[in-house]
Amino acid sequence: MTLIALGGKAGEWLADRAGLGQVYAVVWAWSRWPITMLLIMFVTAVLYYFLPDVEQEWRFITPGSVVGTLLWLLATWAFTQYAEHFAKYDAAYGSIGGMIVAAHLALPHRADLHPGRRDQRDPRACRARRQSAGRTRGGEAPPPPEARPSAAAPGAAKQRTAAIRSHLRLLQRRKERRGGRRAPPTKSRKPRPTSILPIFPRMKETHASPDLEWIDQLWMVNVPVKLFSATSPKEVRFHMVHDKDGGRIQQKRVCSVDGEEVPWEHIVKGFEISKGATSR
Amino acid sequence: MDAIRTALNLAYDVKESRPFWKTQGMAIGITVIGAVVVLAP
Repeated sequence: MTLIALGGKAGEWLADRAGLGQVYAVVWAWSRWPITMLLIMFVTAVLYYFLPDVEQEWRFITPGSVVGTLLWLLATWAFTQYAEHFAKYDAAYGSIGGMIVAAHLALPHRADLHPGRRDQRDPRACRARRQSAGRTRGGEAPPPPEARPSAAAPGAAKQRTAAIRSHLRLLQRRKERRGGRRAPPTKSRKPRPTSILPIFPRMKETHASPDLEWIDQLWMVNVPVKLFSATSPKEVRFHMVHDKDGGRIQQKRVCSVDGEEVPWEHIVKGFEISKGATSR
Repeated sequence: MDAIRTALNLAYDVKESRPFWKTQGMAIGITVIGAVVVLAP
């Protein structure tokens, strides 16, 4: 997001110098999304690579990262719609509303990422943009960098880019070190798993039905449920007891014709049509 | 992060063999780095 936010301003400045401000605005407005996707996919790939205790090769694009990124973008878009049309964050929270929105999903939809809306809010940017547009059309040089509101952006963006690059190099070195120290992948200690959810990086085609494999995994989720009574008995309850020996009184179902006890499987329902005549 | 790690281990059908400090440190580190990458102004 740093690159997206500041890269936009830095590129804007460069494009203005080259006299391509309008073109750049359009290109950037559209290329922001693929760049966001790549960034998120990178984060996803990092998680998939480091978190499970399995040695695997580095894969940047996996089915899982693609699906996850698309879902994330969908959620981003939906939340943007919600934040812009329904929720009145600004009215309720003032400028803190921006932080609330950012803290919810960390989405790149704040006003300072929309060129048009930034103009509405920041008069300096608005003025600078008008000036630069006029001069660009007139064939004059754009305003000097220090007059632009984003004058500090290119340096900061460069610094941050360098920091991220060095971090990437560090990751690469670490991976190389690990590759040198450990056994080659063919002699890996742990067997490669075959039963994987489709959103996870590895799916072996050798399995009988990889398409349905993930259904098994669903049953790994157990939610134990127990019912508790919310009331407690208040009155005393008595048993029926024979007064001589204290034996408990039982109830038996006895036939009125032969006097025998009748088991449940021989008891059926009947309706008394007239006195003494019952239909079964 | 720790929950994702547990879930991925379950999905890969492996038991965690790395020591506690390593897994927790990794979870915290990835969280912090991710927060910086995603949220930094």
